[in-house]
Amino acid sequence: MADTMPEPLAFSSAGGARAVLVPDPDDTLVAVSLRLATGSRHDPRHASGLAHVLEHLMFRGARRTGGGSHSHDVQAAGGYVNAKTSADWTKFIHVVPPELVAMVLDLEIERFTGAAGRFDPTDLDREKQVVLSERHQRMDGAPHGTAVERLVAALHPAPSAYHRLPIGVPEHVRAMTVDDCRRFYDDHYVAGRVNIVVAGAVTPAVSDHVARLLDAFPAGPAGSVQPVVAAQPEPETIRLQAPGRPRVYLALPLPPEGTWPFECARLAAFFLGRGMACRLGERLGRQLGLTAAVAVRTIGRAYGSSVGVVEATPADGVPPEKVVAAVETAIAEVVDGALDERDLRRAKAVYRLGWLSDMDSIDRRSDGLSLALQLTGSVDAYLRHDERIAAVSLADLHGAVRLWHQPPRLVELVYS
Amino acid sequence: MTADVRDHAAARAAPPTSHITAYRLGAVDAYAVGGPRKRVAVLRLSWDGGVATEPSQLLGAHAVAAHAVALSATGDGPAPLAECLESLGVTLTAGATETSSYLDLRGLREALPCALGMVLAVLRDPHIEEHAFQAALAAVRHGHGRRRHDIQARAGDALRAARCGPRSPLARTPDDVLAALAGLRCADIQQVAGGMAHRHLHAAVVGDRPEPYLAELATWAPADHAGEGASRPPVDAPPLVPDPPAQVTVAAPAPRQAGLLWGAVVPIDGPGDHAVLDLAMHALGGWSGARWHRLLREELGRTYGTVASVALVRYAGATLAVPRVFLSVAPSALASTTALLHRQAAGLHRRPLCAEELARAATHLVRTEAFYGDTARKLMDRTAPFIQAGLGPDFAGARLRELGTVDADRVAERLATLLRAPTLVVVSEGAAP
Repeated sequence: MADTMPEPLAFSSAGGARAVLVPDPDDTLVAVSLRLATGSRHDPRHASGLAHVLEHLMFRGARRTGGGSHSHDVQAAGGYVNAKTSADWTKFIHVVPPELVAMVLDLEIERFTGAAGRFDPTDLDREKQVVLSERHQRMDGAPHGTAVERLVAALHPAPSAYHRLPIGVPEHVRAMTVDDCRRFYDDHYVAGRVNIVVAGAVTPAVSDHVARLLDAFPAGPAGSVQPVVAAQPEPETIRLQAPGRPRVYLALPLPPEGTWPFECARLAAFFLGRGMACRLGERLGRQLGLTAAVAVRTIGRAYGSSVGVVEATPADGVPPEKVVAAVETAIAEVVDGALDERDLRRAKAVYRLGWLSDMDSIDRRSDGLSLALQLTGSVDAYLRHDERIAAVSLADLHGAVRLWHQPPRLVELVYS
Repeated sequence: MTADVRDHAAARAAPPTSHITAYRLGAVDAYAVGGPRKRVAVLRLSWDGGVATEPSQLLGAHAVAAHAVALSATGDGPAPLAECLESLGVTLTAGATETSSYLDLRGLREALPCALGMVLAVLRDPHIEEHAFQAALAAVRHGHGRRRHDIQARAGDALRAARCGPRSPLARTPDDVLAALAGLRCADIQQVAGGMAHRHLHAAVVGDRPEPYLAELATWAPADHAGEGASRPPVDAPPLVPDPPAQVTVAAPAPRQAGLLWGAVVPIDGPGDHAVLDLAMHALGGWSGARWHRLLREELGRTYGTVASVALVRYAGATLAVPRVFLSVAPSALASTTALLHRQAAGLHRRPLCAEELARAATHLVRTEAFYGDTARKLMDRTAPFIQAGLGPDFAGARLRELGTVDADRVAERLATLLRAPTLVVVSEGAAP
């Protein structure tokens, strides 16, 4: 494990696609992370889920020269392959031994060169079925699966581009056509929206392959970065029926991802709800006996309000309303001054632990580097994250907790 | 028909799981998993004692005790142990398997040995306060409550009940545990936690050199420790149902859920058997080159994906493997997919897994081993099941060597015995509870 890494090597294509090689001589694997600045916020209003379906479709018919599917060819050679569509990004990730990097980059060149011309109705129908199965498994058929979907929709009312989650709604997915996919691909899979990070046991020898991959994307602009309509919801309570113990979700808008206030809000989330000794767990669970579990997390949105979520499971016999009130009280106590250097030390230590753990994980590291490249134009922000968090003061943390206590702030989702 | 993956570079560069060193330190069996140091290391402390080995009125007690210890005050002040450790950059989590309970310390390398010392100090003389007990109890209840509504866990419970018998300790369900937890008192947990100080301890360190931890662990010396034999009493061979059903149907734990799990519970004899099962499951499901994954996801779109695994449990003097393939499906597709999977399973006799399928699965398993070892936590998840199943430090490496040389005939022959009569668990929305 190297404590310092060699200097990253950055370059770009004539069309505006960017790439950075971030070598670490102690790594034994290489991660290739390809990020497109397109996601569900670009879905047409009546075709929610299109960016996600297209991400799936990119694994079909990707081979121009025969062979199996893209996933199969990479996995059969011993690589890890995955992809993810979020509100702002579409990401394709590979983790492979160094000797397979050139092969993977060549497969990517093949996949992204003239891809729209290979889209096929049969492939699309199959992938639509897979996406509907994914939605069923993760959301419709999961007891609490739709909670986040309802919360995000409530915090970003229609017609906000963040109103729908990337998974989309089934009737929209069923109605998608190959032409829809081709239009979306032509509009959004363009050089100005592409960045590639190759991290780990990488050598400059792969630069030529990376440059050719950048050139696989036709010239096109970076696209709109105009802010999505800011979330200003009225407090609202949504009650859903689900089996099992009741659960409560509180959601509130946070600053956009990539900003310093958002990072501070994340640190506050670690203070409030990460670890066995987090403030909400300690106060609501150990001291008051009101909750069986508490978690706090952030859902990043780069061009509008991010979403903060407090998720709490009441202890036996405790009404959810009492837990909601206790969460508000516990956060209010912090805002009123129940915060000291010891809290700051714990929050920073747990936060730093998470960041260093991501640094160990080659796919998460490449993803973090790629996000920094996209949002700031450089990977430095990610590599220097440790220093920035170390500089957070008690006043910074106090201000960040205030972000979790601002009206209008609550959407309550109470299961029973 | 030998498909050899030994020539691949990744197979030559043996992954960390193949380098596990064992140390005997009096009352501690310690294991150090090899590979490069990580920024964040993980240390697992575990004890024998889980829901399959606990008395029926104390089900879950070891898990609650481990959790309560983490929430108990240290001897130096009122702050709970977990808070003291988190301030150092070390998180503490408690967990349990069927036959053991554990504490995981995950943290910065420079802080972890000190954190271990603090944990051992609390374990030597634990004082479980009522509020720590209640918080731990609530957390363990929460975990079993979630598991109760997890379709894959429900299917796994049904598989064990079908193969081991419904009254087997290995078939205990979240409902059984939740019922027992309702009767637990703080004094019970104090007794269990106090007993930890007199128990044989298993420790595994991942992501760091072992020396600093061995020095701390060497201080663990219960006065009345009777040695390894005392912690693993010999018991009767595990009972398995002689003629397990080909299909069982259970109610889905929540509306709009349905799924299928195909597998068995079988005693295995060493890493060779494990490799056979591992290969067979991964040739059938779990990745895009697997036979059933290609059919059910890639061709038919019936499922988002298939999950293939071989769980291990050391019970009643034997090592039991639970090879299985699981998939979630929409309720509307359950009947047709059930019939399809039955045909596929029956067809394994007519169309056995061929050398090419097994070689692909072997390459995938061996080469992705490095990816699943890039963080200490993933590496711990990868190696702890072998250690906690009592398989010894050589098992992981032997498994990889077995995977490296695949003989389809041997696989077919051994599978004919190990998976002679598998069970298909159908989790149906419409089934009677």
